[in-house]
Amino acid sequence: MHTQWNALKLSDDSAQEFFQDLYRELKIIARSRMIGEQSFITLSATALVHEAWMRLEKSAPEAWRDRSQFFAAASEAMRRILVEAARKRNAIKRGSGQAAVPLEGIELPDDIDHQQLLEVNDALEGLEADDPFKAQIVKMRFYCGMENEEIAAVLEVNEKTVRRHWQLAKVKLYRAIQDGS
Amino acid sequence: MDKAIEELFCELMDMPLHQRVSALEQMEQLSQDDKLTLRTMLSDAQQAESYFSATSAAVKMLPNSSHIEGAGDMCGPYQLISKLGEGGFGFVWLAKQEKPLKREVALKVIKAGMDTSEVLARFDAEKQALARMDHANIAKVLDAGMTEMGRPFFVMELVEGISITDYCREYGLDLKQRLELFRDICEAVGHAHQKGIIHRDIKPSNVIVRQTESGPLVKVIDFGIAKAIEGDLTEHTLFTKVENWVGTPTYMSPEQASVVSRDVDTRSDIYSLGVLLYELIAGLPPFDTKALMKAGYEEMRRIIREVDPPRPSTRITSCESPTKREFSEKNTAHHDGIKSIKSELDWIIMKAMDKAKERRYETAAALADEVERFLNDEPVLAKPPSILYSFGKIARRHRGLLKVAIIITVTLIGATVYSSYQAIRASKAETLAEQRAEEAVADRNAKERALEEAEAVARLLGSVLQSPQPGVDGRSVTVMQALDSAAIKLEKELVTQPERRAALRSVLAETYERLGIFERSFEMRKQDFEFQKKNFGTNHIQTRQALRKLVETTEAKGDSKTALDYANLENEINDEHGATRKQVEAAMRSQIRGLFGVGERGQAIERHRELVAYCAEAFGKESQQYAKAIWELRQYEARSLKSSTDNTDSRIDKRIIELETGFARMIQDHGYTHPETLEVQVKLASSLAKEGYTIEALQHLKSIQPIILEKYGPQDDRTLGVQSQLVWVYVKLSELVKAVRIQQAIVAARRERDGGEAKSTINAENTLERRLLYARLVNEREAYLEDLLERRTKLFGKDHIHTAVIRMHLAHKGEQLEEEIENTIRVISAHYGEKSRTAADAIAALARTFVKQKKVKEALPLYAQCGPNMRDDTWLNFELAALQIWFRDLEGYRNTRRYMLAYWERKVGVQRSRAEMFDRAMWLCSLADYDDENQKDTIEKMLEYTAIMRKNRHIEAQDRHSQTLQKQLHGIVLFRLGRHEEAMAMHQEVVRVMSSSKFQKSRYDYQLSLPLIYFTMAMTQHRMGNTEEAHRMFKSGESLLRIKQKSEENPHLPYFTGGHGLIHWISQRESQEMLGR
Repeated sequence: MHTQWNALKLSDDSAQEFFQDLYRELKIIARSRMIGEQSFITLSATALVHEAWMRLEKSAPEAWRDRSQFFAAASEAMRRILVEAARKRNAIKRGSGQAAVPLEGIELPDDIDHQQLLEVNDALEGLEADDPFKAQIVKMRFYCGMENEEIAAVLEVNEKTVRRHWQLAKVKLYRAIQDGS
Repeated sequence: MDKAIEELFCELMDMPLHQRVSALEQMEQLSQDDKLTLRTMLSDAQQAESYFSATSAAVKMLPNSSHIEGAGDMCGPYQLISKLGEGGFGFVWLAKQEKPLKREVALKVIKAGMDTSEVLARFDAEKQALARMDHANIAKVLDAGMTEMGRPFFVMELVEGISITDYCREYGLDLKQRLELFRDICEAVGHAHQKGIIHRDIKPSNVIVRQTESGPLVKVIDFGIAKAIEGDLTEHTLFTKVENWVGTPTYMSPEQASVVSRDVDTRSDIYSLGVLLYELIAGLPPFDTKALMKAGYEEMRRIIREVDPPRPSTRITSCESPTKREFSEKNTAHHDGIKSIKSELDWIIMKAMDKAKERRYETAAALADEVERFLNDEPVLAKPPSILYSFGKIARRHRGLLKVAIIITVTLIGATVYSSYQAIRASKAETLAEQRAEEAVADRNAKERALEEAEAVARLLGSVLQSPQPGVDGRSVTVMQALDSAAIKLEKELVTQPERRAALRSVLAETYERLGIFERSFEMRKQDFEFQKKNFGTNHIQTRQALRKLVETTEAKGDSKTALDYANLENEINDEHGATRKQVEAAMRSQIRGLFGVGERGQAIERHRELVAYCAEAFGKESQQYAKAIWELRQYEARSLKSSTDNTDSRIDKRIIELETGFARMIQDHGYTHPETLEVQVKLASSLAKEGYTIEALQHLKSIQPIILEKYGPQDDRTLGVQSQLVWVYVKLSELVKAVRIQQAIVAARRERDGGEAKSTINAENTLERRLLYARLVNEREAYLEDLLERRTKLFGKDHIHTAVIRMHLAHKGEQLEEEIENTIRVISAHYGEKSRTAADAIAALARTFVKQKKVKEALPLYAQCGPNMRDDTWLNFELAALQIWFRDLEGYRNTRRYMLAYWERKVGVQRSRAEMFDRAMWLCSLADYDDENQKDTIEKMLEYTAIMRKNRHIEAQDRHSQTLQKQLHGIVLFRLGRHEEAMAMHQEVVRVMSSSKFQKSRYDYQLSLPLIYFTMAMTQHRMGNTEEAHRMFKSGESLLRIKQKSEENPHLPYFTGGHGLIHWISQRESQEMLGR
């Protein structure tokens, strides 16, 4: 049922290259949104990924040209961006005690628990090995902010399936985090 | 955790929270262990829920007010002093620099959120181009860097003053003053465009005005910054502007607001200039900034792309505008002036702000000219769109008639401009000024009337086109049918309205003419003329108007004999009754062309001399008309020499006439877009282009291209053929960037269709390289070449000729290894031959590499080898000449000078030849005494010509440095010409300016120029017999020359001078030897 996720292994060069583009693109959009006028500033990660889809759809490799593959890749990219930003912030916190310093332009808002971003990320690695489908849903929900319905539509399963996997995934992740710390 | 447990867990989770535990307990079939597992899971789930609920779906990207720079902080070598202002992008600081020079600058720190290294890389890429900008109304961007916080910053010339809108308000500028300021801005932007820089963010806060003793001084700031921040169009990033740093979208052009197309060019700046003018006139911007921001992205983009703003004049009356007063004043002063003034400014602004950039002013200079015309009360070129709209509607209903509607519309607009029913009072007007004022008034009145007339005609014509045609579907109505039925209807139905009929007849005639059906056009024109003559007599303005048109049509038809008859008649009438300057000029020109046409070359040239004299008298010797007439005369003389031996001209014209007639027939038989019609039109266009009727060819090609593209697609041979022709024609017309863009389309289509290895693709790619080179798109070209090198290395291997050629182009940067270039030369010479232009290029690259490596003498033979084969590279030949003189190869130098002078002579009078090029010519030629009187004569003419060119193109607005350098050259040329007194006067003036305190003495051109002038003065004095004075001058020069050459064998060349930099030491040596020191 979930074999499609194998395509995401980024094995061939073009996929790898495209993923890099996607990653860069998301960062650019995110950065651009963080500046500028008041009315533009609030933008969820979902909207960000949607925008990336609008822009990159045409240049995507064949295998990714359907929405599900693309969103899977985009949520993966989004996760990396957020985790990277959180790591950097952490590093600086430990180093100088300053709150937020721009790092390649991506800044995490204060009301985001960057610690949590990292914890979930660590736990996610275990889950991914175990149950890639759940891990995918976590990335889409947690890092990408997508709703269950959206995920269901993108993954072409019903909403209930998504909800259930998400519930289980949360418990598993939570336990892993508790065990880890 | 097994599947069954998970399943149960999920079922429980679907239940309301308070029922879960009791439901679990009721599950009889479960073991106690399983129940325990589930219970823990439920409790974990609750905690997990709260753990995740804090963040999950709400990962928001919010801006963060993080640490910012403060006063006293250092940004690179600049220390921040105080904050000057804040904008959407960040802060502007007053900063000071201590080293290497002490100065105050403005420093702009860009808000967080940029990839600093990318921004700086982009800035670096543009730095050279920015440095080339030199205009009194442009604030220079000096430097860029990264703050300690990692933010990019830009350093700019410190400009005092306030934004233009504030200034206008504060100083209560009237309409005229505002427009004058605006014209300066246009000229500044035009200058930047010429240097290849697009501003991309023109808005009031980027236009700063300062009050000076001599009135307001305007400066455009921030050139190059928008691009650095946004990134290049060609770059892969898809970063749209709307969301980025620029605070207000009000000034953004539709193409900048578009997500899909990022086709930003100089015309995007024209749009922003239009918005700026709008605000200066109406007192507020076309779209309400706040409303725009509120609307959100999509809506905002839509508004900018689709919504037409209200006309500025309606805003003036509907609200309190600062210019309202002027309008009402003009209203009382000028009886019916208000309408035209208001609407004229409306038209200018609307044209500048047209959604389609093709319909905007082509250049900032054109917009400046337009404003100038308005200020001088001359008729403007912009026209109201009303006729266009009404025809647009008809056209939508009858798609088949679209073309004719467009043609008629164009015709009407053109006719309106032209049909200036000018009062003829030239003979009575006493002074030139009086005459000008009268012409202007007459123009304005005539235009008003002509416009009304045209509107009426348009309505009539519209009704003809709209009327149902029995048996013919609107879609298949051909242009000819429509026109013919219009013509019949006109003769039948308007018998009682002879005036209207006459007007309509001339519109139809114009339309036939534009379709190339000169026969019919001619008939109608003739009828019109006879009608007017009968009605009003020969001397009536309308009769004369009709005659003018008749002459033009007859010329277009190619019937020189008849055209000449009519032109003679026109000249007679002009002589007898007097005429405006322009009328006299036009009639004389027609007569001259007619004389040439019937083979009376002697008479034609004689008459042209009279025209020259007339232009000098009527327009003044500094006028465009005079300059044009002079150069035409030279061309005629040259052509008459050539064609006295062969008689090809008339044969060529015959061929073109044949094609034109064929084209007309095709339209008649098959309609405009029929493949055969197109084919004939393409042939016609290419014949026209070949014979130098470039503008005519362009008009044809421009109309063919969209049709053929739609019909056959971008990859069809026919499309590609037309595009290639267009490129060629654009090059001829010096529209170099346009040529590049089309060539890019060709390359893309070729690659897609033929593949990268195909000869056709290679040729197209190579052509694109040339086009980029000539368009001076330095960075774009380099990026393109690098990409091409990679492609070709992959396709053909490293030593293939196709790859070698690209390597050679890149070698000009002087970074490649000697052996590498030698290898490239070998490959190229073997393939193209040693004397080929391509081989010459490669050799030149090697020569320049040698110079860079300070092996100057070794470079000379290479220069001499390639120079003659690449005369169009004037810089290279200049270097060659300087090296030849330095290494005492006088014969070689003379040879170089001979062929280069011949080359430059051909460039005289060519459209858009630059004055700078001729400066270079004169420098090269003046490194030693001239060979003979002939040469002297040519150079003298060149000197005059550049002076006229500069006057006409308003280049005097240059900075003092460039002006001084020009004078310096002028002095040297005068010296070589033997006009010693004048030369001395010129030298002394240069010395005076250069020694003044305002002159920036740190500049290298100062450090070398001043000694050069002293040496030239020494030589001049020596030739005048003032030996003592000569020695004194020489000594002054020596003491000023800071950099001395130690060895003649291996001269030192400061990095900024290149080979031609030797001129300074050449002058030293020559004067030393002349004085016998």
